[in-house]
Amino acid sequence: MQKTAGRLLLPPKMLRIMKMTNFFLLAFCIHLSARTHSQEAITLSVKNASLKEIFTVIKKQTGYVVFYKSDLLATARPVSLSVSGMALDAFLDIALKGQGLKYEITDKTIILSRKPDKIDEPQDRSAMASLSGNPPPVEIRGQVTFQGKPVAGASVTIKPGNRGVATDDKGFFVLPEIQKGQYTLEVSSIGYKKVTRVITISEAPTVLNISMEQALDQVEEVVITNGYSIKKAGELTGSVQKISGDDLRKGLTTSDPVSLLKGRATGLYISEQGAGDPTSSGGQIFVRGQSSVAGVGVDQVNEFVLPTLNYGPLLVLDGVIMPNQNLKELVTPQEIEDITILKDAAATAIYGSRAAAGVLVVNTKRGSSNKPRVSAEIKYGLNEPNRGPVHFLSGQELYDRQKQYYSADYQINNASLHIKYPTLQSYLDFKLPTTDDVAHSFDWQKYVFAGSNTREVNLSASGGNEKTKYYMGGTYYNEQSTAVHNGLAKGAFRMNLESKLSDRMTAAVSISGSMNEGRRELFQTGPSLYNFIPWANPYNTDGTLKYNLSFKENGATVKKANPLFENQFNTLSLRSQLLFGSVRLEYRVTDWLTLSTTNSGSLNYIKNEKYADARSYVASSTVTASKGFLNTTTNYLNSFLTSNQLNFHKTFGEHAVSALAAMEYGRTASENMFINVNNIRAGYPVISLARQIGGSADLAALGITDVKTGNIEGGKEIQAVYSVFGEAGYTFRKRYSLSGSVRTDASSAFGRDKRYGTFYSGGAAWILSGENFMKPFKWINNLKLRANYGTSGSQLGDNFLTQTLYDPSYTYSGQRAASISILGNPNLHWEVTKTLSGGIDLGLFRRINATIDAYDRRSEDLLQKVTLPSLNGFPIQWQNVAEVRNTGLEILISSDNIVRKDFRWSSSFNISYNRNSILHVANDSLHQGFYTENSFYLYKGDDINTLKAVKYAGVDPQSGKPRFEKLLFDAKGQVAGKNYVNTVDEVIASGDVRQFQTIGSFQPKFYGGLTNTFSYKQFSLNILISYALKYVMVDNLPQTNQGTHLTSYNQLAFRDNQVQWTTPGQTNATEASIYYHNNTDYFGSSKYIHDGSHARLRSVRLSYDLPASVLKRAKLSGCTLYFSGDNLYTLYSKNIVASDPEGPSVGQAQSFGNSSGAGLAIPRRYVFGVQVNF
Amino acid sequence: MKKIFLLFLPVLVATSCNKQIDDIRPLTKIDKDGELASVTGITEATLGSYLLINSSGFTFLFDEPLQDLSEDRGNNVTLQDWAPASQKTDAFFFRNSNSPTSGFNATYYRGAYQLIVSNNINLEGIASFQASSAYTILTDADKNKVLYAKGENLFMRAFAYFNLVRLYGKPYYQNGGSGPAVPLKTSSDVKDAPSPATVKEVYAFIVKDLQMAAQLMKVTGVTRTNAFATTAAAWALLSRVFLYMGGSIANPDPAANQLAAAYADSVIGSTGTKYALLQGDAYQQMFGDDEFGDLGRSVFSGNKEILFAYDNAYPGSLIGELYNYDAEDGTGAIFLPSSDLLNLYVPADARGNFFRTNSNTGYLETTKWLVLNVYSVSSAPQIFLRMGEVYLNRAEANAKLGNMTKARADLKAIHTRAGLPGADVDALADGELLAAVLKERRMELAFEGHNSFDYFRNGLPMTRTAADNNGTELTIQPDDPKVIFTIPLN
Repeated sequence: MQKTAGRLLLPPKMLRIMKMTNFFLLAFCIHLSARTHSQEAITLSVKNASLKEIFTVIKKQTGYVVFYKSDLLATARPVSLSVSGMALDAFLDIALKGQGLKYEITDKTIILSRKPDKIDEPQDRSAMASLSGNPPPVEIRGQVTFQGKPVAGASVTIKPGNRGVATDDKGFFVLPEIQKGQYTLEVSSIGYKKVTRVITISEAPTVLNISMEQALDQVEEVVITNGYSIKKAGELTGSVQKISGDDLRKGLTTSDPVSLLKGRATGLYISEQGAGDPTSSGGQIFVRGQSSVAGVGVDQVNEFVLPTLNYGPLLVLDGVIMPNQNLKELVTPQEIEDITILKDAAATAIYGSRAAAGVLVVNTKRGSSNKPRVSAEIKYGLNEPNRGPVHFLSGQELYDRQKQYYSADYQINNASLHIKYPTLQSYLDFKLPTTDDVAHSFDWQKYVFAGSNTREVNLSASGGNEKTKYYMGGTYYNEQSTAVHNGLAKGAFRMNLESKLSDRMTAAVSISGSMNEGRRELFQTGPSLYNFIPWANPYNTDGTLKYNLSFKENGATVKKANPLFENQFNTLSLRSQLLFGSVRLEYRVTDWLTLSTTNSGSLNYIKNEKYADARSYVASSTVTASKGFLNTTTNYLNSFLTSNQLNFHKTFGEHAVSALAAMEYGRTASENMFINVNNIRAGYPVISLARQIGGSADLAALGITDVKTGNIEGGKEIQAVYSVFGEAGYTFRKRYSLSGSVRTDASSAFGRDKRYGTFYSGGAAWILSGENFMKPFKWINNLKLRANYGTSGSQLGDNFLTQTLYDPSYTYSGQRAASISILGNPNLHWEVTKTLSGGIDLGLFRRINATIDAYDRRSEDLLQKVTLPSLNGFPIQWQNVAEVRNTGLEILISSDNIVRKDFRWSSSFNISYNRNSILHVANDSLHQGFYTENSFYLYKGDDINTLKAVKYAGVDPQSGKPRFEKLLFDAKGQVAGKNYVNTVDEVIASGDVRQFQTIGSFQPKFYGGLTNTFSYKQFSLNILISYALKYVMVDNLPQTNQGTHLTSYNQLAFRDNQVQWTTPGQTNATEASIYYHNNTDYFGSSKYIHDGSHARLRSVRLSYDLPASVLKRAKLSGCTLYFSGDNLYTLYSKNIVASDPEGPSVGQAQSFGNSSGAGLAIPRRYVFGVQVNF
Repeated sequence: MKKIFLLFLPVLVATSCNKQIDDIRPLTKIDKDGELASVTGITEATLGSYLLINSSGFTFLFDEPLQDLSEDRGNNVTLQDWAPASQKTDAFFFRNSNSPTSGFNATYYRGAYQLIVSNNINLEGIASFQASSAYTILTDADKNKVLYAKGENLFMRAFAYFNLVRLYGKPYYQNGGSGPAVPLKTSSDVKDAPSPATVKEVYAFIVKDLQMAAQLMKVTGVTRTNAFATTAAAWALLSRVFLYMGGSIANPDPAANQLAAAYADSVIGSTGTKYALLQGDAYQQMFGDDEFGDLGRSVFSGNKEILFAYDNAYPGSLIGELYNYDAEDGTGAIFLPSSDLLNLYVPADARGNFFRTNSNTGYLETTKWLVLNVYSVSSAPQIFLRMGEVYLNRAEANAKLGNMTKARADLKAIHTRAGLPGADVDALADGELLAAVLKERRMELAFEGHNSFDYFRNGLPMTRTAADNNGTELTIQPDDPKVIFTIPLN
């Protein structure tokens, strides 16, 4: 295996392709054409012929060769002329007229070169004129503007003649040598409406001022790439949504681009419970519902293998499939040019086995051939902890509640308690702390949560000429979280270079890198500290920090590390570096055939260090004495992908045909290392300065021989995928489109026989608005129907689940031992998702654009971790059994509500609906939930994210005990009634899983967002609201900290709408009596499952662009000042105590449905920024 | 030419890439065929089965459930906190919950079969290795290693079945063992799902496996510490198995009791000086307060009393939290010694030292599991078989057989070791002897997982006094259905 790992990155066949490419490159850099003598005559009649075509004719008719540098004809315009027997010199004079080119004929060759600027040939003019028998021409000059500002790079064309020029930086253009007559002048530029003007040219030069209007309807202009091919929006048969980087950047300040998609993209449900922690891995994306069950049916028994599953869509960055599924690590928001979301089969099938969860195609910024542009931006943000209704008790309040509790306890269990504690007071004295301790309480919330800041600096430069374009950008991002000792500093750079090597060969090189430095608390994680008992005061009376906490809890002394003391020395640092590079060569074989190869590689290095200093309590307390401990884990991942494709595109009259054929081979290798050392000199967290191998507990000191196992570990893994695929599209009269694709993947994840998976798609689109019968409906400016069907797959997260494997890295009693880690299933194969999808694109009044999409996705042969009967010994095995269906509807409406000279208001609203249901699961049931107390089954028809629980039925008015519904079933198994019992255990004691009733699903039925943009003169205001409706979440913070664990954790204050039972007959109580509340385990009941529907004012951004006059004085081309507020307000149920109702993610079975507000909620952030363009 | 090249390219690349994919194998794991096709692999896989005895962190699989279901259903313990039953106190309340959600029933059942199937896989691998040509060319020393491994697997499987049958099958004396117990699964085949066998069948299976294991582990050249299965451990377990088969006190079965005594003889008489009853300080240190590791109890390979114990030195067992409060964790001591038990120890009894008062709480706790306890994890060896029990097995069997002299001698050995006068034993009438043996057994083996079984297998009721049961006395009759667990729903 070593040999394989060290082998060439390129398979030998790939090298051969590269060599061939080099050959083409050489052969075509020099352009050779043959040709004649100056006395030779030319006969020809062409319309709009390129110079190249003209030269071909010259060569045919005369045999003369034309030499020119490859870039010379880049700006040449087409020629229309008709001559008969014209001398070669005269012919060339006409053909090259106004092209800025001159020629020399020597020795049967014609050498073409550029004319020196500003030197015209006025003497020729009359000759030319007489030659064609026309009067002398005049010049048309003009400026193109938008709202008074120049429009650079607009194309100005004049017909007939089809001559064209582009405007310069100041919007000026010159069309020289126009004959008298009537012309149609067309001015167009992307983003503006085309201006058509009929002009009459007389003898005098003409000066025109053309002002453009912004285009509202650009449907035909939009160009979409799926990573392999580029298509016009009109040709698309699939569902795609493209969002520009500029729009995204008008949202939050974050390092996670996924956050920016939230509320803007349809069909993408984004859960970002970790967003409060800048070191977290970022938001989790579900495209059109969850199409996988792996990781859902987690059994309560031990996990032999937990595949590293990612639920997110496949990420394609600048045309390269990424091995990494975390967008946050791959790209910074600043670098994004646009993100295209591919959702249905027609759009995604080209990615075959990996596309079942959708595809995000991310393009980074490119240079343009404009003049160099340098941009700098500085942001500063204040982060404010978002605590919602979370409020913990003070020391005295907790003391009072505990006293009430122990008094009730003494009364209820008097029989056993009075023996040892003859009086209530003696019992209270035993259980409760001293009043002096209580008086010296500490507010842990204040320590844990604090305001912090976010800083960001961005620099970029872009530009180029017609041959080479470049973009270079760098970002520094530093976000401190609102919890203690938690933050991220990130630096990233990117360089995109594109160069035309010849007029047939283009090379593009991209290099990007990022460095992340994160830190967290070592053992306690900030947010969990707030439940510390208040009388566990971290300070001595003299104000110095205590070495450790020792306090009374439930009658016992508890000794704990003092987080304030520990945080002086101990850290958890998270470091990662990512370097990515790609080289793309594109060779245009003919006008309609292109051969391209993209070869990319990435290196990803991750290093996490846990350091407990010898001076700290955890590294030197009596039993775990390790005198300093350092754990270092490193992960190294490298991947290589070669993608080679042949693209075909040709138009025959009204028929346009495009096709591609391609192959890919990708290989990802990862290595990891894990080292534990201890006995480290204080203050030197270096492996070499440790005296021995060993864990956080110093076993050697205890007479137990320390072993390598568990202290020094390392492993590696290789995965490879090989694919062949093709795509074809046909468009007739630009109105009727058909498309199809097929892809076969072979993956090393499966056994040899099941390795191949073939996925396909077919689709059609019809632009109705192009039809004559639609002409009367002038208010419909665009109407397009789309439909498609196809399949895509999803790949197993882990390799080799097909084999029963032993992990030989264990020891038992000092001897090497191997344990079974996976019970293999040799029959595992690909999952497949079959999607039927249709959509309508609608444009009305040239102001409103709407896109409506509907889909039906059936995911079959899903890998399910099947619970085997206990008798099988091994609790689980992966099998291809489950089937899940997602159906849904997405609506995106954007409109320009008001468009005035100075004021503009536009809105964009989107809503997505998804319904998930299980069609089939193994054993007809899917075991859900990690802990036994909360295990239920999902059946056919259930939503895959259903939460079931024993139903909580309020407080018994007489006893003050909580009540739970126990269903009664008749002989046929139908519900015949219900009883009330007082514990969850009593309901489910018989093991009848029917007692778990459906409470809801933790993925929303509806979600989306609303964006409003207002601009007035130089001001612009962006408001983004996101929402999610109809889902439930487990409010796990009060479940553990409000009434329960009263004796061991600090308690959350009750909200105003919560009432605790105190007296028999009381009917308004929502919480059981203090004794029963504390002694009831609500886990597995619906007591804390609430509707999490919410709407969030996600971001408000006000910006001001400096007026042109100021810019001119400051010699700037742009300057924007802005102020934004993120997560300003969230509207959600009063029943929820958590500080944030953000819906949970999936894959972490232990925290099913849990709320994020139990930990660190997404902070409120106020950001001020300046962006300057030079 | 170009086009022809392009046509062939995919074929060429496909072939080469396929070959590359074929070359990819797991790099840090070994597949089953590879693991069980060498002497080293078979040994490693066998040792790996031992790991299944320990609970792995938070998924209570075998050891803590077993301890809880065995000891905490007896009368040696009482509760620290009388709140409604939780998973760990469910056994104490004899709820015997069938639900996977409360009590350890389902968890333990699954854990036991995991051990059994793991042994079955190893035994199947050993059988096919023995049938292969690779085996025939092995040296005798290597062959012995394979035979020993086979013995260990048979021992562990029998050990797992014994614990299952005494939790899920009615005491052997009831209905002549004809009641249902647990399925006898003897293969690793997922499709092999037998119905429950009778109690008698399961005991017969255990005896057969243990007898073969005892023979196999006699091979020379393999030395194992008392953390592993050995011939002596197999004999000691056989002695206990036959004791359980030996009928009720009212109606003992001489044949089984003779075998119980005979296997105890083998352990005591045929192992030379390898095993012995520890005396004096050595005995005191075996169960003394070792919270901070001063007594070195976690390393027990030199302890002659222990025949077989699970080595919990690292990473430790959760059993500690059942009996000892841990200030670092703020939890533990769910069960405290019952006043009923404590009253049995006279002041001179050295075993009275196996308790200590926790300074953090004021609770009196057992020290038997108090070894390097930190964060609720104990490094105390889980002693499954020790010489003290073997003597008591023999004493009980002989008392039931009417061999009072022999019974008296063994009882005295245990009684005097605890620092108590031999005259106590001499003073007993023959009719009082069996009861005295059982009382001594309760005191000697307290908190070691014998308490509840020792009542029920003998046809005796288990009685918890009012003081130990929140004011209400509790008696469980040996034929109470709650004495055994029902096989959990999957």
